[in-house]
Amino acid sequence: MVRSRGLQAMNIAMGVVVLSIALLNIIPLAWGVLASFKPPSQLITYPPRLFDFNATWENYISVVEGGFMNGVRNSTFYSIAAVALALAAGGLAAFGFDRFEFRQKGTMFVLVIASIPLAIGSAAILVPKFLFFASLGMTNQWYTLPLIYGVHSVPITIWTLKGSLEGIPKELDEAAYVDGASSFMVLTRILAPLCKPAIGAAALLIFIHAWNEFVAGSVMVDARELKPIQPLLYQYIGFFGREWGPLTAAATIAILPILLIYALFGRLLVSGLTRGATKG
Amino acid sequence: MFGLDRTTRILLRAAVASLSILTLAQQASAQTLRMWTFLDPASGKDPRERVLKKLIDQFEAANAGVKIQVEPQVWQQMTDKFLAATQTGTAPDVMWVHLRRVPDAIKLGALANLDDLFAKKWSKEEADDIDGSFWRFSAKPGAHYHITHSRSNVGQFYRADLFREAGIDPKSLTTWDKFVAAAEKLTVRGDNGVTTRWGFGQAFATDGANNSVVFSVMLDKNGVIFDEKNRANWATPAGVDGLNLQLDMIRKWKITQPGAVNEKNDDLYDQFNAGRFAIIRGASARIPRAMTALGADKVGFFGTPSFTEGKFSPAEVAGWSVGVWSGSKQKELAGKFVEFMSSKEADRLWTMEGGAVPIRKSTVKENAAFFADPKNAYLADVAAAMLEAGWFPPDGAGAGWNEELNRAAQDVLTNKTDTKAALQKAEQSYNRAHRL
Amino acid sequence: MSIAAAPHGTTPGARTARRIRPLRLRLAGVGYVTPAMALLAFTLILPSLYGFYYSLHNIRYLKANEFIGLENYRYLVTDPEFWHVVIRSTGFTAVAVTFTLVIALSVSLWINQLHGPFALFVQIVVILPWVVSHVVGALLFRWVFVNDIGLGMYFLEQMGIHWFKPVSDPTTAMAVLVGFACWRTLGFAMLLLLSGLKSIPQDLYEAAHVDGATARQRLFAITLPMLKTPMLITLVILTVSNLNNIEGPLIVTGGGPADATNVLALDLYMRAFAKFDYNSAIALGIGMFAANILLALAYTRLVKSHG
Repeated sequence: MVRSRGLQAMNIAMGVVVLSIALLNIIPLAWGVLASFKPPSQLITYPPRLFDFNATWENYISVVEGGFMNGVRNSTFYSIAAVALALAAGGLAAFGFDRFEFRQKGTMFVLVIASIPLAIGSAAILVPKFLFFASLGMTNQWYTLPLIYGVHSVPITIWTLKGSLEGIPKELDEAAYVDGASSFMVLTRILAPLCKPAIGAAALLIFIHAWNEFVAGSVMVDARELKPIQPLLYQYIGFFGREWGPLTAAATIAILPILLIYALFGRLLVSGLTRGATKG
Repeated sequence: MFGLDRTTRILLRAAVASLSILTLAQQASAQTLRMWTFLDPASGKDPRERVLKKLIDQFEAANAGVKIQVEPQVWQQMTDKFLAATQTGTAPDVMWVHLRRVPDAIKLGALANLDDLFAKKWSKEEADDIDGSFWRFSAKPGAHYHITHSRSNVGQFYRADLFREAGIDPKSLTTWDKFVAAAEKLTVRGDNGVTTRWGFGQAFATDGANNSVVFSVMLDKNGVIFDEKNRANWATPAGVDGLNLQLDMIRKWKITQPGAVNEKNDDLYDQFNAGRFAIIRGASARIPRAMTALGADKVGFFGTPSFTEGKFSPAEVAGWSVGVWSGSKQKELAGKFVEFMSSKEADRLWTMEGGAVPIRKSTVKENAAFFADPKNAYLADVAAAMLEAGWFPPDGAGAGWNEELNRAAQDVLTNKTDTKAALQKAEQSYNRAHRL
Repeated sequence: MSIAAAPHGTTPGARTARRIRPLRLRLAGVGYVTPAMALLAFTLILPSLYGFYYSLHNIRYLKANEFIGLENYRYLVTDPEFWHVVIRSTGFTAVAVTFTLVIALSVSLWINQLHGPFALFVQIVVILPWVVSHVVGALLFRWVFVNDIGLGMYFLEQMGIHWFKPVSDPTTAMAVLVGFACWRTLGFAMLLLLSGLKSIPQDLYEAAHVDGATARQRLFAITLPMLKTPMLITLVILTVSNLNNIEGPLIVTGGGPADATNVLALDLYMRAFAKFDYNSAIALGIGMFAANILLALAYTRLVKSHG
């Protein structure tokens, strides 16, 4: 009795916490979405205007006519390519690290973990990095950003998937080997389906990283045709000042594909939405 | 595979679709000129972008087979990227360099001599037409490296409508006494003591810092802010007076918002557009946007007051110095385009359609009616302030003085540090950063 | 790459076979990790080594000139202000990571028991700040919660509080920076922890249920121990991400007032882009790499030795 009442209180408390988080998360972004429908004269006002404004599509029209959709297209390609690259390389490596023994395995895994700061803090050595890639003729190419984005996510993908593999009993693999399966088949047919939640989470992280990356996107490619969305969005925080209307409109457009991808992969993290997600 | 059948299928299809429509960057052919600028003519959201597009169209029409490929860049990083790309041989033929980095670009040998390309062929009238402090900036005998566009300088934005209501003539605010009195008059406090409108908005955050009041006061009183070795020289009587004047606007006269201690210029423009200020310190390049938000008849510009009646204090100028990359394989053609973008006809377009400050004297002379229009009067005011009190960093100057001076202001307001001590700290930090 | 593994675990010799590790199996392992290692080496490790080499030179206008050894590092560590920034960054990161981790853990445990589309909806709401463009997210956070003309300040003014300006005071400015860090990274941490929770085999819980374990016992005996790796990953990423994040100090709090929120990432940015002092900026960048790597490895060691 006491236990269930305690649980109930916990649940209510958590509900309140999550509700506050929801409010803190939604209010600024909803404000941004509202701003994207305001004409310039009603955007920045004191007191702030919540609903009494003349809603307009002009910001969206100006963003779309300004060639933003080209960036959306590029970023879609870059992000999907990054997901494919990082999941493939990271998945194979996670399997190798978790299920096999080989020389220097420990050292190699240390390198994987050491690569996490190198990826996340990549902007810190932007200049030498640019000099490195540009001297090799690898900047301003169609593969420049997918490569960088994909590899940035490889270390965390390896680690996440390896963490998930650790929880799967090795007896499963061995039974399959008895049946004559190759190791690649064990990975793809037996282990991967069991790692769905981790694969889903990794795919989301890779996609979101690639989609929202700004520094490499603005420095490593020059041509307008190759620019991803973030530098294009940044054009609205220009030398002549911030343009809140088009900026928030562009950011609103930019968030939609991510929500779509989330609906696609996030399912893997919800019990009941996918069959056999967690049960072997 | 991967047990992600539906997801995988959707993703693969999207990947194939986006691959097939991904247009690859055009390989530069012999007749293609690449140009880096922060303007994006393809988007055309700003009047100056539309002018650039027009100029490119005209140039391409006049030079068969030539294509100008604009590669828009993020303005804050563009110049650094150019300096790096110069070393890797990937820089564009035509480059818009941030004015303050022009000396660096020249020392690196990144910019071609425009005299060799076209300027030495100019007639005397033509040379005189463009001559001025911008054209002479970083020039050497027989060598000019850039023509500066999108010129801007720091000064005061004011609400013309509020000035009219209060019966204040902005042109009369040339001394600090008068300026403070006007700002006091324009400050509105409610019955509960809450200020709903501040007379003079300032911002002391370090990111994106502009010249502050102390900067202009030091130049007004001393003429310099560095010593002969380019070391910061700020803990002087002029510096102490200037910083006290700047901060007394919060502490004593209550005409500046206390939040200034950690607000940014970008906040200031927004709050000005929201009607929270009667005057703000800002860069003139941002005026057109304020006009869009408030209406062209409500926004004006005047130079920085001084301690001498009828005289402005100096303030720093900015701009985008268009030049030709020294490593370009088509320097002649690139030079031709730079010259074309700065021609008489082009300057008229930049000014009258783009809202830019004219770069040629003849543009002002020949279009008197345009500048007489109250909507465009600010351009003449900006040009006048620039001409009279525009300040260029001395040769060999470092960077970051605005940031350090703002840190001193924050230090005094937050830690109640003595003004002189705060300036000394700022000096040391600046000198150390530049190994001086 | 279809190397049929030895049928170990079936014959009586299986145990020995495992111990001596047949060559084929070793090769398979190396084969699986090679593509990833090659990519990491070329795209992350090699450029970083080049960055270190670059940092040993006198850099003018972004060009590496004469070799000066560790002079740039010497300059950096003898900068009296630098160590204040280091201490401030450490404190900020420790507090932000702790808060985020605790909240993320409780939230993901809560979400883990939800079902159906509602669970997906809650996930999306929690991760929103991470999916929106980081720059725009930070700008909106500042506009709504911090700025003089934003909703938050307006709301306070309506309640008669007009003296409170969150980023004008050193203490509250730091609190805002921490708050923004939690706001920004919570969804990300939730995602990693949730994927860990979902990876725990259900039969463990079923067995515990049969044994009559209470919810609390299940949490401490099964969930938390099984969540060790995901928590470690989250800890490392949160630490590195907060140490390197620029939007918070640059956009939300501006580093001030009086350096109160000036942390390493902002210091690096200002050295490079305000003072154009690439010498100390590159030394700081490489130094941060080294510190972050050591931290990540130390965490890993620590968790392993306690495992």
